[in-house]
Amino acid sequence: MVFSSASFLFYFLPIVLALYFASVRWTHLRNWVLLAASLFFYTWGEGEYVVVMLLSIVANYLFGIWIYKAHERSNAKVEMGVAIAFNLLLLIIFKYTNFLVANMNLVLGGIGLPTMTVGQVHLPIGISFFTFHCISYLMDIYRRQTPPQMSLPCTALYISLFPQLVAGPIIRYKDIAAQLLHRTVGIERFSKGINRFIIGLGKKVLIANVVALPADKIFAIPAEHLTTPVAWLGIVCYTLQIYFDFSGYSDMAIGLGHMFGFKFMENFNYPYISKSIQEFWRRWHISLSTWFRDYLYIPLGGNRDGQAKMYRNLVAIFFLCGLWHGASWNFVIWGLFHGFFSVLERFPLGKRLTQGNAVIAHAYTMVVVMVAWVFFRAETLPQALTFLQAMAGFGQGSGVVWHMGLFLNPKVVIVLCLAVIGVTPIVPWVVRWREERLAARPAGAAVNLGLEALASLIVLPTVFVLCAMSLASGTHNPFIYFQF
Amino acid sequence: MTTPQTSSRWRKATATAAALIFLVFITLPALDGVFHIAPPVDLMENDPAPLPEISFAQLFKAFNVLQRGFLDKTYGFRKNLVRLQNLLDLDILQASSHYHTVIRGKDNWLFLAQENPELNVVEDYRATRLYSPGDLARWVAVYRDRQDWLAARGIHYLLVVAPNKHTVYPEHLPAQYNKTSPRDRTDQLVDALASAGVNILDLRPAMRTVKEKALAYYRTDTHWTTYGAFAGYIEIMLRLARWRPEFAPTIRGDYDISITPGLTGGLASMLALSDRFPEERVTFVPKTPRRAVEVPNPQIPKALFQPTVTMSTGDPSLPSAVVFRDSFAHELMPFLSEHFRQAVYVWPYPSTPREMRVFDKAVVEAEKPDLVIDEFVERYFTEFPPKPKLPPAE
Repeated sequence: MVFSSASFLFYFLPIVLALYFASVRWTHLRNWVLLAASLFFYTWGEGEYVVVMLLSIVANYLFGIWIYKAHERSNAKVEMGVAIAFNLLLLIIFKYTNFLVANMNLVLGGIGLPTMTVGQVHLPIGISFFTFHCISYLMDIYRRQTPPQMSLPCTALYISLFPQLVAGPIIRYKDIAAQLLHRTVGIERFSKGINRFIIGLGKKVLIANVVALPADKIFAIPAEHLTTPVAWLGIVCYTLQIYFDFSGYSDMAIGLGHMFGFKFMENFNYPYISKSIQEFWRRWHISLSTWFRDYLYIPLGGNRDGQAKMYRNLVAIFFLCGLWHGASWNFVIWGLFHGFFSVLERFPLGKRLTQGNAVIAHAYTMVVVMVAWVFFRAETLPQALTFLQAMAGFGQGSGVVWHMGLFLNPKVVIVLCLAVIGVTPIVPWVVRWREERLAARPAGAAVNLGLEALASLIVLPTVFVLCAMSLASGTHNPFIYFQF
Repeated sequence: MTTPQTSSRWRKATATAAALIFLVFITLPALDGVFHIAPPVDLMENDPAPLPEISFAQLFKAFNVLQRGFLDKTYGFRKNLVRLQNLLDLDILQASSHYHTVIRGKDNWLFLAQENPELNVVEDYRATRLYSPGDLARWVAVYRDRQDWLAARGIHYLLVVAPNKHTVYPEHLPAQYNKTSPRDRTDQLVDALASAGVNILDLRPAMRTVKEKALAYYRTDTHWTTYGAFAGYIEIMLRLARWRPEFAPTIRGDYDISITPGLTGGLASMLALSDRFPEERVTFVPKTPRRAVEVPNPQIPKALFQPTVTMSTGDPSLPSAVVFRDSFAHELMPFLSEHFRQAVYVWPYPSTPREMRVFDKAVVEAEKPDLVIDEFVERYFTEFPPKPKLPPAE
């Protein structure tokens, strides 16, 4: 079940809200409501694979207590190693088996040995996210930053909480532990959650879905018909799609969190205004990059052991970040591509590029990001290379078969313009500027309140209705991060 | 002057009102299931699989049906929202994409576009993908086999292709949909079948002739008008007259033509906008009463994709026919049926890249007709053939 579906919006959400607020006086009961809703939510999407998540929950609940107790007599390294190995094994089995076998068969076939056959292993949705949740839970206990959760239902709720279950943000246990037991929701917080949810829904449905259609169709064009303008239109659409899709989902998750009294971390901060790849990763999928920083980069030594090791650590992190996104060499290349520029920016050439002229720095960053998205989006490496060839001006198409006119219409053009505005902080700047200007005037506060009411009572409900219209008509509604 | 207390009260009131609006919005669709408050909207679409009766035994089945899109298709106000979206897209944003089901062409003409994920009629029209020699050979073999199998039983075979609206009225398509090749798949297949000796009737030239004098296809529907169907009927009879010469003088032309407003074109209904795209119905009223009537026929399957229809004149001097058909035969049936003792119209599922349209030999053997007509609209005729199945492993 995706948030941008009628079954979620018009059935699941109202029922869960009704049950939750009917039981809001009783902390345990409302947690049970949320837990039951989360398990139902997962079962709706994944059926019997809910067992995998339940297994992970029970195992990590026990691991947490085991590591905590082990600390009383030792450094608990063995216990921690076993627990991490279990989580990684789960991820490897479900996410990487086919990839590993395919690559192993290449080697075996190459040296004339018989190859292995395994069926297509199903990838349960959200497994990458809940596994990382579990590892952060164990790491926080191991580092003595938090005691383990002694209540199995509370552990289960942390891991399975439906707003962030399938696509994050990746929530640290230590940040949410207190909220599992004590949280309040007033009407203003609830309304704030609604507004955030609608903004996310609008980003996803009204922008990402509209630009997704040309992006998908252009990436399906056979190599011999691809032209330079069409390839650039395709990657621009995809660049906007992936941002509005994912940040929209994060907004919806954060909004739902507010509605139920949870505060989730921000996951995006206008990444496309970055002037370096390093800055991009401080603004893009923040919960993932900080997870890698805190639980992998720093334990590997970070930048404490000299530059050479720092570069090694950076490359390792980006390699794993790519692999986390998907079991394919394209994702690995995408990660390493970012890793390469992240390292390059620490050299004089990179510093000159990113710390000089702001326009050049920004253009450099966007070109790197967009070229990298080609590897992320293309189905195969040859397809990625052909696409890049077309972007570089060496497309093989004549423009007769697949031309720009097939993908552009007034709606797509309007949405592209809105999307370009939306990737910059222009709207918050205007809001801040307006508030400051009005605050200095006698009736300014009243006007500000009026405008806030206008946004909450007219603009956002209109956005919601527009989303409902789009979803009802069954327009293109993919969700990129579900596959991770 | 706004005091902090006033601001706080105002913000609380705004938050309360916003929350109420949202809660009303998300609960109304389900409430409509009980109170039926949504205004009715005429929207043509496939219904989802029905929900089994809720019982403990059926619990998993019901869950599966719900999970597979039942709720997303049946909630209250959905049809109203679809209508609003199409009004916004077509009237305000002027946005039409051939990756949606219906596109708006010039002069308010509507065209079918993406019929299903595997069949894009606009891309067919543009000839973006042509048959390989292997594809062509496979289709030729299929139709040759049918013709030979029937010939061995003394049965005549006629393959009839009804053109897509796009082929007949390309000037009404949006300008961006250019032809990318001088020949399309229909050209390829018609030529290959004709060369292989398959008795094929391509109705594209006839429809181009009709449109010079009358509306051959409805503006708001994917089908031909009765003018178009009548021209198709005449072409079929003329072709059959090669085999049965007495058919030529019996082609009927004595009709009063009635044109009445109020037709609901299928494409307009698929947008829930039939009121915004008015269309007139063309009806041919025979001057002498028709002889063929529908009769029960227990020998044949009642339905494949749609119900089977048996029409009988009861005249033993006339031949009999089995017609494998699609929706384009609907308008042909009243004309054709007059020429047969009995005509059985079987409507199988169209071909897909995985399954070929059924050519039900059992029906032919049960009916023992004098003639079999295989009628296809162009877009089903030009499906790529399913890949040949591998022989079972030994």
